[in-house]
Amino acid sequence: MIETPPWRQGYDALERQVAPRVERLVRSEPFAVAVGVMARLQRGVEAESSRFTRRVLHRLNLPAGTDVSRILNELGQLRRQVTGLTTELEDTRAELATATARDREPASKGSGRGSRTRAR
Amino acid sequence: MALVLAPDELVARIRRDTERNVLRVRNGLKHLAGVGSPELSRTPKDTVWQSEKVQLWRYQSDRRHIATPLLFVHSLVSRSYVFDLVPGNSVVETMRDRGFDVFLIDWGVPDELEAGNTLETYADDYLPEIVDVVTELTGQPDVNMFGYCFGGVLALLSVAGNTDMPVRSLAVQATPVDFRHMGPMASMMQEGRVEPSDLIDATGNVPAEVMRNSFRVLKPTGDITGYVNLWQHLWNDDFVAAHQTMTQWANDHIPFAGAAFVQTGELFARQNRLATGRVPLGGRIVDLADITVPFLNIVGEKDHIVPPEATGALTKLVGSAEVEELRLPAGHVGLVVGRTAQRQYLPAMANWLERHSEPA
Repeated sequence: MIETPPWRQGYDALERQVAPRVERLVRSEPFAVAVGVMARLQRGVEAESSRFTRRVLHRLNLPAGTDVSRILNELGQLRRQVTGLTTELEDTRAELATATARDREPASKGSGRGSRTRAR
Repeated sequence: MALVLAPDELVARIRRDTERNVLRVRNGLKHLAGVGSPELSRTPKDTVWQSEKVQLWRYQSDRRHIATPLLFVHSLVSRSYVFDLVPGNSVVETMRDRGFDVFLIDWGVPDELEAGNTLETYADDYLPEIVDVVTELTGQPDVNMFGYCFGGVLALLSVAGNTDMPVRSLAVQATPVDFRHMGPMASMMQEGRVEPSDLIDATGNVPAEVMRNSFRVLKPTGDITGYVNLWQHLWNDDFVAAHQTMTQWANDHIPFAGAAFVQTGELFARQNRLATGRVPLGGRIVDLADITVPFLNIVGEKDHIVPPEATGALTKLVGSAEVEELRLPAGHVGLVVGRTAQRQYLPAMANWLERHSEPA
């Protein structure tokens, strides 16, 4: 038989009382609204702080962290666009190859990996 | 009536308690110093493909006797090493030893470059390309796909939206579809509460800390209870090692790509589109009914993160002729981690996967 020490029994009894109340609180509308307000406040403060830091650094002709972030975001977008275009090009090539093979030998099977087109 | 111990029992009890207290001190000091944590993710693997931060790992094996490769698709919000904790408690190790050719996608840690990644990036770009890579590497015509948690969501969208992808079967585990039952994680993002965009930081992503707190809020007293459990069992080396392992993983969250997060908040948390089976994605409607391959939905009946009510509807939404549901008396992580998972749950999953594989 597994023994549960008295102190653990005490904690469990307390937790059984407290946990449901805390869980009800975090699932409540006021809590959710409060979290939303806090999140907006935090973003606002961070944005204001970034703007100030950016102004100071730009005056010194230095890049700010947000400048770097913006460039990296755009680089990421560019990369996704290139990936998308590359995939479209590959799909088009595959379709052309299949169509060409079909035109040449209508009775034979298609060549290569086939013409699977990625959804866009 | 007071319990009276015989003298020899009393001596044995005192000896046991003294030994345990010594072990408590030793383990406590080690824990505080951060030493003695087990080394994780030790199953030998090769990185067989990489694109930006995304890596595809293939686990080395000389005992593959199941030809159809098994591709694990992990979630976007936590570390993939949950699949490979320690020897003897590792999903990939178990499946490898079962004879599968095991692959795991690690999405990496997003930064500014990944902030614009959308659900389409994962479901329509990465996953189809990775499936192609796996079939080319293995020479097999198709793969068995296994999605965990949000990885299951990506797998569902990918297979449904790209029906010519060579997927032989699809298994998803602890995968949310009905976000009405996802608790504060979803309810907080309803209109008038938290705007998904308000959680995005200067990098364009949702910070790891925010993701960690969103899980903590599901069981607010969970952290304290965890430490109480640790104190109670501090004398037990195995317990301490397991606690350190799980605590490390549970606290090791990663940022969530901002664009994908906003989509998730709008389409799933607010509109609950996944529960309808039809999701607007990539300029078309992705319909889960277009999934026609054999399908397995694994549900943890004690899962407090993705409760059974959030995942159970899935079996009615897919269009597969062969649909099974495996309900297990486990929590979100207990489905794949721990002794019972190793002895019962993973073998049950492996049985299904093997039935839907070609032998080598």
